[in-house]
Amino acid sequence: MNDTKAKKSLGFYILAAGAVITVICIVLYGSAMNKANSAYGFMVAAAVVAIAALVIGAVTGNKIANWGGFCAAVLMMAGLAWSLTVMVDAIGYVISGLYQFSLLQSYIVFAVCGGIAWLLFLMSSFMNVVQE
Amino acid sequence: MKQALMRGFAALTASLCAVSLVAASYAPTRSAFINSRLGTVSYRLEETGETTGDSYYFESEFNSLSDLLAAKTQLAEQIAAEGTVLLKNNGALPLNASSEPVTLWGHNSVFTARGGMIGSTAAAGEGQQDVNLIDAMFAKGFQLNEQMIGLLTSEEAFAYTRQTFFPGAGLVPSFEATWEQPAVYLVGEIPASMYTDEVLASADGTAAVCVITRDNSEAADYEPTMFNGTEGDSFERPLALSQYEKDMIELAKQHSTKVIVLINADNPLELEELKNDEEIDAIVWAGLPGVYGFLGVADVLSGQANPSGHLPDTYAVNSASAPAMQNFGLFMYSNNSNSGAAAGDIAQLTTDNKSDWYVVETEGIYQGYKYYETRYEDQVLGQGNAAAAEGSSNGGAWSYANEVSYPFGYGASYTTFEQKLDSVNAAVGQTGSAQVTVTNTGNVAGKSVVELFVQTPYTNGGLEKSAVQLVGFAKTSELAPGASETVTVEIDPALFASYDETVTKADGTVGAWVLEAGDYYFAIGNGAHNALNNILAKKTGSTDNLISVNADEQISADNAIVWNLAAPDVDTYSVNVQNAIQNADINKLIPGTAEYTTRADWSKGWKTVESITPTADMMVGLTNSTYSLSENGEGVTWGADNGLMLVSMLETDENGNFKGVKDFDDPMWEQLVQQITLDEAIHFIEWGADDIENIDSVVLPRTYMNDGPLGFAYDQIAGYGTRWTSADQSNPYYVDSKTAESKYSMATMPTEPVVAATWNIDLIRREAELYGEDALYAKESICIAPGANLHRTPYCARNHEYYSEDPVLTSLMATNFCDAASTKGLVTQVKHYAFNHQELNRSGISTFMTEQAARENELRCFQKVMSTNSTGTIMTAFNRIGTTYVGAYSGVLEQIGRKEWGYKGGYVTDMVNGSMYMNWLDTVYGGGGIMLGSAPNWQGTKLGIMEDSKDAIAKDTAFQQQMQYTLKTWLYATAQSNVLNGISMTSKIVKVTPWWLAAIYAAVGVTAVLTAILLFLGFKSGKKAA
Repeated sequence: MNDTKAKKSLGFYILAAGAVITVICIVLYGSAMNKANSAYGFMVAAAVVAIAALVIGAVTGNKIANWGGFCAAVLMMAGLAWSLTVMVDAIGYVISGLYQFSLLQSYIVFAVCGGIAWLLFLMSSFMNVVQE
Repeated sequence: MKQALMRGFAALTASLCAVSLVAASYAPTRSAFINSRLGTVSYRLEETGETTGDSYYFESEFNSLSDLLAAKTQLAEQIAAEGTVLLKNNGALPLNASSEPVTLWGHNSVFTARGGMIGSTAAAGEGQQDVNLIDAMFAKGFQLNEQMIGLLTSEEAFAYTRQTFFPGAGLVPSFEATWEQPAVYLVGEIPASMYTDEVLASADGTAAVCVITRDNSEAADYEPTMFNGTEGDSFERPLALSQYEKDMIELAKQHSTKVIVLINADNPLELEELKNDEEIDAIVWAGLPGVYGFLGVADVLSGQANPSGHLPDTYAVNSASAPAMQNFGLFMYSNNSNSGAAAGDIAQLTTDNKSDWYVVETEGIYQGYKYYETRYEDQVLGQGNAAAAEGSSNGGAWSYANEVSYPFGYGASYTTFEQKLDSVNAAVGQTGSAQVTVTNTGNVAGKSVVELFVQTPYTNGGLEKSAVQLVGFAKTSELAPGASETVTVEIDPALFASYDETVTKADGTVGAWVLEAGDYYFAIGNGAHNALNNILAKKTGSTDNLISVNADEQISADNAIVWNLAAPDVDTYSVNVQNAIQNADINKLIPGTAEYTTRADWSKGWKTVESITPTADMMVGLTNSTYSLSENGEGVTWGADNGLMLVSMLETDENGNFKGVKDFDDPMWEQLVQQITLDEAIHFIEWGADDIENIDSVVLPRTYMNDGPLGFAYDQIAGYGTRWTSADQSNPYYVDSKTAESKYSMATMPTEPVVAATWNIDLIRREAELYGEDALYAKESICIAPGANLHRTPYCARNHEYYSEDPVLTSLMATNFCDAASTKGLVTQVKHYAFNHQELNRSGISTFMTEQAARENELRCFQKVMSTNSTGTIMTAFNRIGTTYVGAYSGVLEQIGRKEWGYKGGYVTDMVNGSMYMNWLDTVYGGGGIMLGSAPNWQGTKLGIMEDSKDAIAKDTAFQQQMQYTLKTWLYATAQSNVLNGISMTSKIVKVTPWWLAAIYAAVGVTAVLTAILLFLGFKSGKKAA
C-alpha cells in the first residue's frame, strides 16, 4: 500500500476545496433563472478535472496532478462566462425595473460561489498538488 | 517553484482568454444594442453602381425635426381636447381663465398620471418641454392658487405620493408568476387634516378643480378586493373614490365657488355619488392624456375648446357588477405547480409549464355595454328574468337605473345638438350607409359625434344577441351656432353578423357568420343607451317605461329606422369560415364546467369557475407538447442564387416614391425566400427581439422595432438620436447625437382610450402619420402599436393600451391608425392577438370562452386591420387560448387570421420569457412567426435553442415550409417599411468590425499568446528542475 499522505501539500487541499465548491455550484446552478447547457458542461468538466487531479496526486503522486488547478480554473471561468450570457436579458430587466431583484438572487449566489471556486483553483495552480 | 508561478499566471491569462472567447462568441449577437450605445456599426450599405433617383421611397413632409416636434405637440393637445369628455355640467364650465381664480385640489393634481408604466410610459426627454396639469393651466392663462400648490408639493405631502415600484405607480407590476391576488393599490391622496386653515382660506372664492387619479401599468391589474396602501385611507374598491378623496372634495365644496371634478384615469371609476351630488357642479373625464394632453384639457376647462369626446367604456355604478367580473383574476388548476400534488391520474404541472392559471369568460358575448344595455331592454320588455337579483348592485331587483352612471358613448358639450337619422341604406354583401343631419342648436361652436348602433333580431333561446351594438360613427366639423351638417356613416353588415357555432354549411363545414331574418333597428344616440331607448321607443311605440340616466337625453323614435331582412344569410360573410377555436370552450372539454350568461335567463352566468382539474387532452397544451420535429418530405431550397434583393419587390411611382410591393402571390417572393440560407432563417426567427435581424442574402438591413402606443417608448429608444451612427450622416433625417433634440422622447401622445374618446378618424390618422414621421427621424421601422384588445372588464390595468370595450370602435381606430402609418413607411404591430384580458399571470394563463364570444368581441377588434392588411405585423399575446399557447394556436393564427381574413403580414411573439410554453418549435409550427426574444432564453431548457436543432430541422420539410412562409410574411411586411430607404438595386451590405469587437478579438489573441508563453516557460523550468 502506498503512503500517499506525505505527498500532499497545501495546493492539494485548496484544489480539494475548489472541487467541493464546484460541485455545490453545479447544484446551485439548477435554481438559476436561466441555465446554459455549456455552463453545466464546463463546470462539470472543472469538477471532474479537479477530482481526477486529486486522485492522481493522492494515489500515484504523478506530477501531472499539479496541472489540475490550472485546467479547472480555466474551465470554471468558461462555465461562469457562459452562464452570464443567458442572464444578460434578466439582468437588464432588473436594471430597467421590469424584473424584481429577487429573480437574480439564486444566480448571484451561484456566481459568487463559482467565483470562489475559480479563485481556489487559481491559487492551487500557483502551488503544487503533489509535493516535489 | 518557478514552474508553479508560471502555471499560476498561465491559469490567470487562460481564464481571461476563456472569458474573451465567450465574449467574442456572444457579443456579436448583441451587436445592435452595443452599437446603439457606442455609436458604432456592424455593417454599412454600399452603392456599387449607378442608382436612379435618391432611393428614398418614403420622405418626410417636414423640413426639420423641430417642425415635427411642434406638430406632435399641437396634435397631442388637440387629441386631448377632443378626447376630453364632459360628463356633468350645471353651467359651471367653462371657466373664465382670466377672471376666475382656480384652486387645484387633491395631491394627485400635482402628481397626475399621463401614461401607463413600462411600454406606454409618457415621458419627456432630457431638456424637452414637459407639461403637467399645473404647467398646462398656467400656460393657458389660469390663475392658480399657489398656496394650495405649495401645500400639495410640500415634503409633508410628498410622503403620500403614489410610489410602489416606480415613482407614480400606485400598482405593483409583476413579471413573475404569482399565486396570490394583487393586494394593494396606493391612491396617493393626502388626509384632510393636512389642509391648513391658511391654505383653506386661500381657496375661498375660487373655483375648485378636484383631481381624481388612477394610474395604469403593464404587468398589473386592479382587483376589487384590494386595500388602499395610503396610510389611513380606504376605499370599497380601488375604482371607487377613497375616503381621503371624498374628504378632499368635501373641503373643496366648503371653500369654493364651484366644484369641478377632473377624472384622470383610463379605467372607468365609480362616479354615481359625484353625479348625484348637487354640490358637484361638473365632472370632466380627461383619461391619461400623455405629456402634452393637459394643454388640451385646460382648453376644455377654459372653453377654448368645446368638449366633443364621448366615453369609450361604460361607467357602472359598481365597477365590479358586470358578469365578466365573476371570472377575472386568479384561478388555478387543481394540479397547479403550487398545489403539492397531482390530481388523480393527472400529473402535477410544473413552474416551467407556466400553466397553473386559467380564466373562464362566462359572460359570453355580454361584455361592457352589451351586458348592461341588453339586460335593460329585457327589463323594459319584461323578458329573460331581467329583474332577477343576480348581478344587482344593491341586492334588490335589478334595474338599469341603479347600475349605470354614464353609458358607453356618452358625452356632453357646451352647446346642444340636434341629430336626425335621415336614412339608412343597408344590404347584405355591400357597404351601406346612414345619413345623419346634425344641427348646432346652442350658442357655442362645437363638433358633434354621430354614433350609429343596430339591434339585430333576437329569438328567445336562440343565438345570443346584444340588444344594441355599434355599427359605425362620424364626427362633424366644427359647427357654428345654428349651422347644420349631414354626415355619412358606413354600414358593413359583417360587423353585426352573429357567429353561429352550430350551423353546417353547404360545403359541410361547421360554423358561420349569420344574419338572421327579421327587423334590424338602426339608431343613433348620445351613447348606446340613448340609441337603445330610441329603438325601444320605435319598437314599443311608447317612452313610458324607458329609463334615462342622463338628464340631457333626448329619446326619439324617429332616430331609429327599421331595415327588414326577408331571408337569413349564412354564406355572404362565411367564405372559408369554419369553427376554429372550439376547444377554447371549457364546456366542450369538461361538460358542465361553466354557466354562461344568457338572455334567456339573466339569473344565470354568475358562478365563479373554481379549481378546474384538466383532462389528459388538456394537459398536452398545458405541458407544451403540441408539436415535435420529424423526418418528412423532400426538403426545401435554401441559399439559391436567384439574383433578387428585397428592394426588387418594391413598386415605385414616377418620382421614385413607394407605390406598393409585388403581390403576395407573386412567385418572386418564393424565389426571394429561397435565397436565404437555413442559418440565416434560424437566426432571423429565433432572434426577433427589439431589432429584426438583417438578412444579408436578400439585403434586408437590421430593422428597428420598439413599443408602443404613446409613440416609440423612451425606455427603449431614448431619443431620436439613439439609432443613428456616424455612418448615417448622409441620410436626410439623420439626427446628430450632439443636438438637444436627439435626446427628446417620442412617447408623448395620449393613451388609447383618450384617442378613442375623440371618435375622430382624422385625428387618429394624423397621429399615425406623425408616428411615421418619428420613425423616419429616429431610424425606426416598426412600432409595436396599437393595442387592440378589448376592455373586457374595467379592472385590467393594461386598458390604457387598448381603445375601448367595444370591438367596432377598437377596430376602426386600429385600422385607420395602421393604414395611415403605412403611408409613411411605418409598419405597425398590432398587439396582443388575442384575449389578453388580464395582466395577472398573463404568461401562460389558459383563457376559455365560447367561439361566438371570441369572434364577435375580441377577434372583431383585429379582423378589419388584418383583413385589409393595414398592419404589417401582429404581436401575439402571452396567454393560452384554451390550453394552447396563443402564439402556437393555428386556429386563430392560420385558420382565422390567414384563411378567413386573408392576413399576409408577419406574426411575432410577445417577449419570450424563457419558459417552455413560448418555444420556437410550437410557435413556428403553429404559424406564430418569429420570436420576440433572444436565443439564449432556451438554453438549458429541454428543447434547447433552435440553432442546436439545425440538423433535425433540415430533415423536417413541413417545419421548413413553415419557416419559409414566416420569412415570406416578414419580408412582405418589411418591404413596405422605410427600412429600404437608401437602398437601391445596386446596394450591398458590407460587414464592418466595430472597434469594440476588434478589442475583444485582440483580447483573445493577447491572452492566448501570453498563456502560451507562460506555459512554455513553465514547462521549460520544469524540465530544468528535473
